[in-house]
Amino acid sequence: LNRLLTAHTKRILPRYVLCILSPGRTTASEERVQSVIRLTNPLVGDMLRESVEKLSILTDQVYPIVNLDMQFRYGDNPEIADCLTDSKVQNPNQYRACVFTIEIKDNSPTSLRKELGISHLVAVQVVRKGGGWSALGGLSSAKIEVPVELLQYLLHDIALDIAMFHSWPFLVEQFGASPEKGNQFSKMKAEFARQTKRKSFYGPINDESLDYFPLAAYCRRGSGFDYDAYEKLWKEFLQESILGESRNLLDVPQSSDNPIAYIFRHHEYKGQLSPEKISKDVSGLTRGVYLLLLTHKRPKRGIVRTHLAHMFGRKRFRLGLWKIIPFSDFERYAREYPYITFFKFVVSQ
Amino acid sequence: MSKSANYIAFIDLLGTTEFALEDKVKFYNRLISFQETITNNCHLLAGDGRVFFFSDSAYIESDNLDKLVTYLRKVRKALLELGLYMKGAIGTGELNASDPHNSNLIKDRKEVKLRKETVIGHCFGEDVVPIYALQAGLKGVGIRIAENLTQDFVKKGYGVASCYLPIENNRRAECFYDLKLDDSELNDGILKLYLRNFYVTNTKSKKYGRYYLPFIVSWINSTDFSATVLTDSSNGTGSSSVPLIFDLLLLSRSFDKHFTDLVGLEYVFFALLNKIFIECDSEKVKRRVFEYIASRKKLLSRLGTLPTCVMSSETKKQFLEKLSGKVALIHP
Repeated sequence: LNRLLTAHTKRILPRYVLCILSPGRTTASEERVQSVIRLTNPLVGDMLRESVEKLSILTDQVYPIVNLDMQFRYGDNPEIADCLTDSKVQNPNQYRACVFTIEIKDNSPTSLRKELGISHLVAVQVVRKGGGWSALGGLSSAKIEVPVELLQYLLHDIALDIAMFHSWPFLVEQFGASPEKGNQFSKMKAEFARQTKRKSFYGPINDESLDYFPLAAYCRRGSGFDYDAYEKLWKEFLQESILGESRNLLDVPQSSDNPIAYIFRHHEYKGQLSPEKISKDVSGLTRGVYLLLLTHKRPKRGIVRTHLAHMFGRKRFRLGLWKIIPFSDFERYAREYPYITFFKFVVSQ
Repeated sequence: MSKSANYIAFIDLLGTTEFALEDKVKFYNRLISFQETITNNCHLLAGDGRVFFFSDSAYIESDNLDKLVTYLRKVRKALLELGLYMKGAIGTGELNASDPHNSNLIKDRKEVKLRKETVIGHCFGEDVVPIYALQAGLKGVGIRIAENLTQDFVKKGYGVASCYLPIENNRRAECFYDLKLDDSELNDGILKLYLRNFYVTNTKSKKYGRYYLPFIVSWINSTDFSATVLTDSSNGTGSSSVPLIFDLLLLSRSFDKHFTDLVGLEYVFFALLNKIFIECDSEKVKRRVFEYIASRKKLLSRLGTLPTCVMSSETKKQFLEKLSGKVALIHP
């Protein structure tokens, strides 16, 4: 099932992490830390892809792929604001974490977050022994002290929360419009996390005034991750803190987006699809989660081609045949990968 | 620099043009990472060398070979960890960086000042030409050592034999000496990242696929296989007692699964066979490598074209002798 549901979607969110490494002559242990940090990026990428795939199969949501890219700078300046306002930093609003091997300082006003267009920013201090979550004030929403070995998990968890947020269209509509709204959402999430009093994998919450906390940190189990608990926790948070008693999460439209527009915006092979024919089929669908199947690769064996053609209601196989099936039938068709591609979409009404 | 420089090197970041067309943020970040790596390690050359860099390439000179090699290795390691790959060359000579402002000849101080403020850059002496040509001829990841330096480099443990494919639609390999990867560079994380990036790039592309070959051959030739032992648990599932490259090529065979159409795949396997036959004492390990290669017709058909840098004539003889035992074997 590897990469089945995310391989052909082009819905990608670019996000960045800035790493400030000690410059010049470094000791052997510092060098080891730097080496691990530099190798973290691909590890996080692999973990994120796997998590989004797993959640895509487990849940009814449509997740974007978060493309987390780590940038490296060598420097002595521990002030976060200086690092992010540096001329070398492009798109500062897309930075979500700053990793420091030198001791972090954050003396800038909180309003700078708004000026830079950042909804939340995690200050990550690499230490020998983890010290938990605290509020640093200033530009950062929270400070976390972690050993370098846990850095890949932490960055994965922060990015997974971003993917989760963007998988609920009503949240993006309500809180994604401006950095202040995003900041407000982060605060609500941190408050919920503090009240639930669960055990965070990266150490305890030390400050009540924390502006950010990734719920994924509660579901991390060492190198593993409890996806069921994660989904449950998010739903609990949305119901309790966002929707309240008056609205039920089940009644909230899954997608405010027109499914036809969604398909033609994000499908990798949208050029092969006929807008008229797809619109005709999609408009007749009832509320639910569906998969758009498309023949993408020609099997070498004739028997497989015939089987696939029959599956699509045709006598002969050709590339570009398509079909819409309910998401619940996913496993029945999954075995036909890689000859067919799968594209998940939601119909809200 | 007061002392005269004897060694010069040129390095160039690979794939920059492709990134410029693909993603401007990534392109910019690659250049910044290159710049930071070049400058952050400059203390290794302090007093004994100079670096001139522009965009994605750098010229380095030093009169101390050890320092120059340490610097190049540190830079290469940091770039490898970032998934950035470079090609380059090392040779003898001096950069002879020119003064573009002719400040000795122009008497008008204002004019000199204006020139210095407006024009920044250098032109190098003729010694640079062969070094530049050496790296330009290398079609792949690596730091090529000039022929007059190879003996010194091998003696000092800085050089290692490798090969590349000079012509796009031709499988014939050419030998060169690469800057040997040291123990800190031979890190499993780096190899995994390299193969991952290799897989992501279109490996079937004859133009780009061949660029990855020299690094893998150099990696094999830089790795110490003398302590490689196969335990009972390493029957195809991998074992911690073998280097990762051995595991990928022969135990888990993931290399074979994912890079079936790689141009020059035979050089990778025969380089491994050569190293194992020369270095490793374990008969079990030798047998495993031999049997795997002997069972693959495609690899065997390329045996005649192998250059000596991939497989020494002695190993080739040993291999053929072993193989000849199989020739007369009649299967029921």
